[in-house]
Amino acid sequence: MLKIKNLHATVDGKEILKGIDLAMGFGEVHAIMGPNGSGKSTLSYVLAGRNGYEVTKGEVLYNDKNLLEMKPEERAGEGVFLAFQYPVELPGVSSMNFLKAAVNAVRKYRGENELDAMDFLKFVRETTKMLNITDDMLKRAVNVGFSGGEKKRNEVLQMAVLKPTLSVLDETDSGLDVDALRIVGEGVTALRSPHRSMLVITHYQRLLDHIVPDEVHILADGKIVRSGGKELAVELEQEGYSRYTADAA
Amino acid sequence: MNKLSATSQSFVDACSISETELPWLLSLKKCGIEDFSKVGLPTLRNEAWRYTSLKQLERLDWQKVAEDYEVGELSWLTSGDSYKLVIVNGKFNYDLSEMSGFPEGAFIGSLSEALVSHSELLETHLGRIATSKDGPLLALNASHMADGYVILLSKVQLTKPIQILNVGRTDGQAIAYHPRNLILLDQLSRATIIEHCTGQNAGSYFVNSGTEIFVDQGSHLQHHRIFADGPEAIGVASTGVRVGSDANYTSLVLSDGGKLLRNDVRIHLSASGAETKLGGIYMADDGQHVDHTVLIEHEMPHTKSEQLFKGALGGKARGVFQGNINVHEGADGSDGQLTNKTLLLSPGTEVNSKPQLEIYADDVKCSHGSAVGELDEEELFYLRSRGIPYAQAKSILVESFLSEVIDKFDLGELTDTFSRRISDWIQAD
Repeated sequence: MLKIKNLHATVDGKEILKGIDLAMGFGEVHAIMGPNGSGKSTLSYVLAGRNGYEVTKGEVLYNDKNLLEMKPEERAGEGVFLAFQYPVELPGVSSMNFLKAAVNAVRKYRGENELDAMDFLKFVRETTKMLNITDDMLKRAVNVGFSGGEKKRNEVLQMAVLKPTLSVLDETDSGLDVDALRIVGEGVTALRSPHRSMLVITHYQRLLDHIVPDEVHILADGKIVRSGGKELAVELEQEGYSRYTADAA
Repeated sequence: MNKLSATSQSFVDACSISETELPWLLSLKKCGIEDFSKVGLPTLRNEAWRYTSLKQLERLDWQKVAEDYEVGELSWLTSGDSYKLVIVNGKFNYDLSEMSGFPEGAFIGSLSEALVSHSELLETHLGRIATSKDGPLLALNASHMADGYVILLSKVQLTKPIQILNVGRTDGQAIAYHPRNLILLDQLSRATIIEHCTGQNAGSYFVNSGTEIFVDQGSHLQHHRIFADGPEAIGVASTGVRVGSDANYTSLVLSDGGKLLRNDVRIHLSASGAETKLGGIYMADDGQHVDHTVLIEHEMPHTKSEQLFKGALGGKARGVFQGNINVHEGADGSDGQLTNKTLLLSPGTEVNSKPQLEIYADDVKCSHGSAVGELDEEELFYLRSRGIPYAQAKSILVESFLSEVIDKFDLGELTDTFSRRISDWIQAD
C-alpha cells in the first residue's frame, strides 16, 4: 500500500533524506528508529506534505497513487494521517469544532454524508472514553494549555475519528510518562486492523512494547541502514545507536 | 491664514448659521466655523491624520442633504424587544422610530426636539466633551450641527436596549451631512445602546458625525456599534466620552464597511472609579481604508481602561490603529491596558499601528502591545493535515483570531450578530 522509492528531500537547501526505500503492505506496522538528526521527522513531514520539505528525487506511491502530487488535505482525505511530534496549538478554535470540521471534510472527500452536531457527538464519545479524554478537553481550544500527555492523546483521538489507512506516528511516545504511554499504546493498538498500516517513528523501544511492529528499520543519516524483525528494536535498546551513527559518519 | 482647499471652502460656504438660534448654540456654531476656516480639512501633515488621508473628499462636489428621501428596508441588529431610532442622512425620522413606553422623565428623540424641550441640559453638555478644539472635523460638525439623536437618562435603568439605525442614502448625488448626537446617563442609570451605521444604494456620501457621551455617578453604558456604511461612503465618527465617578463605559465596535472610515474616540476618565472597556474588530478589503484612533485620558486616581482591537485586512486594504493612553499627573493607581493585533491576509495590505503611553503619575499599571502578522503556516498545515481544505482552514483561523474580542464582552443576543458578521466577511473575502 505504501512504496517509498529512492526518496531524497531537502530542507532549506540541505539534503536530509538521502535515498529511502521502504515498502509496506496492508495491515502492517513498521517502526522506524534512529538517532536524533537522522531524518525521522523529515520523512513524516514529507509524507504529510508540509511546505518547505522539498523532494528532489524519488517517489512515494500510496495505493498506487503519487502521494507527493497531492495537497496535505487530499492526503488526509485519501487516508494518510500524521500524528505530530509537537501537536500545534490553535488558540480560539475549540477542539470539538476542530474535530467536527476535520471529520466532515474527510467524509465529504470520501463521498460520505456529513455528520450533524448530534451524530458527531455520539460518534466521538465512543472514542474519547477509551482515550480518557474529558468533555472539558473537547471544549477547550485545540492543544492550548494541554499537558504533553493530553496533546498526544488528542492526536490519537484525531487519528481514531479520521479513520486513516496509513498512520504515521512521529515520536508519539516522547514526553509521556508510563501511564500516558499505556493509554496511547492501547489507543493505537485498538486501531490496528487488516486495512490499516502504521509507520511508527520513534527513538526508543518502549512504545513498541505496546504497538508490536512487523518490521523495524534503522534510519541513519537519511538512509535506512538496516531492517529486521521486532527483535531489532530490542537489540537497539541494549546496544544504542553508536555503531550506526559511526557507520554513517 | 492658509488658503483653504476648494472642498474645505465649499464646506465653509455651505454653512448657514441663522442669527435666530439660541445664543449659546449660535456661539457654538460660530466657533466651529471659525476654527474650521483656520485650518480646513486635515492633511497628512497633521500629526493625528498622518496615516489617513481625506484627499478622496476633494474629488467630489458635496451637496447638502435633500429633505425628501425615501427609506428602504431597515436592518436591525437584533430582533429582540427594543426602542428603535432611525436616522436617515443625519436627520431623525420620527415616523420610522419606535419609542413608545420610554420611561417617564427620561428623554429620547431628535436633537432639534431636545433643543426646545431640554435646552438647559443641552447648553451645559453640548460641545463640552467633543469640542471644536479637538480637531477640524468636529469643528466642521459643530458649525453644521442640525440634527441627530439625544438620549437623556437620570436615575433610569432601561430594561430593553435602544437600537439606533443610521442610514446613509443617496440617489446619485454626492451628499455630505454632519449629525450631532448626545447621550447623557446620570445617577446610577443603565442603558444598552446598539448603533448600526449602514448605507442604502451605492452612492457617495460623507458622514461626519459628532457624538458626546456623559456617563456620570455610578451609571453604566454599554454602547456597541457596527460601522457598515456603503461601498462609496466616507465616514468620520468622532466620539467624546466623559466617564464620571464609579461609572463605566463599555463599547465594542466592529467595522466592515465604507470606502474610508475614521473612528475617533476620546475617553476622559474624569473621576475616581471611572472605568472603560473597549473592543474593536476591523475587517477591510478591496482597497478599503479603516482607521481606529483611540485616546484615553486617565485624569483622576484609580481609573481603569482596557482595550483589545483586532483586525484582518485583505485585498489591498489599509488599516490604521492609533491608541494613546495618557495618565495625567496625580492620577495615581490608574490601570490602562491596550492591545492591537492585525492579521494581513494578502500581499499589498498595509497597517500602521501606533500604541502609545504617556504617564505622569505614580503607582500606575499600564501596558500596551501591538502585533502585525500573517496567518501561521504551522497552524494552517495542522488543519490541512486533518483534511480541512486550505480556504476553510484559513477561515477557521481568521475567525478564531477575531472572535477573541467578542468573547471578552457580555453581549447577550448580540453575540451571534457580531459572530455572524465576522463569518460573513470571511466567506465573502
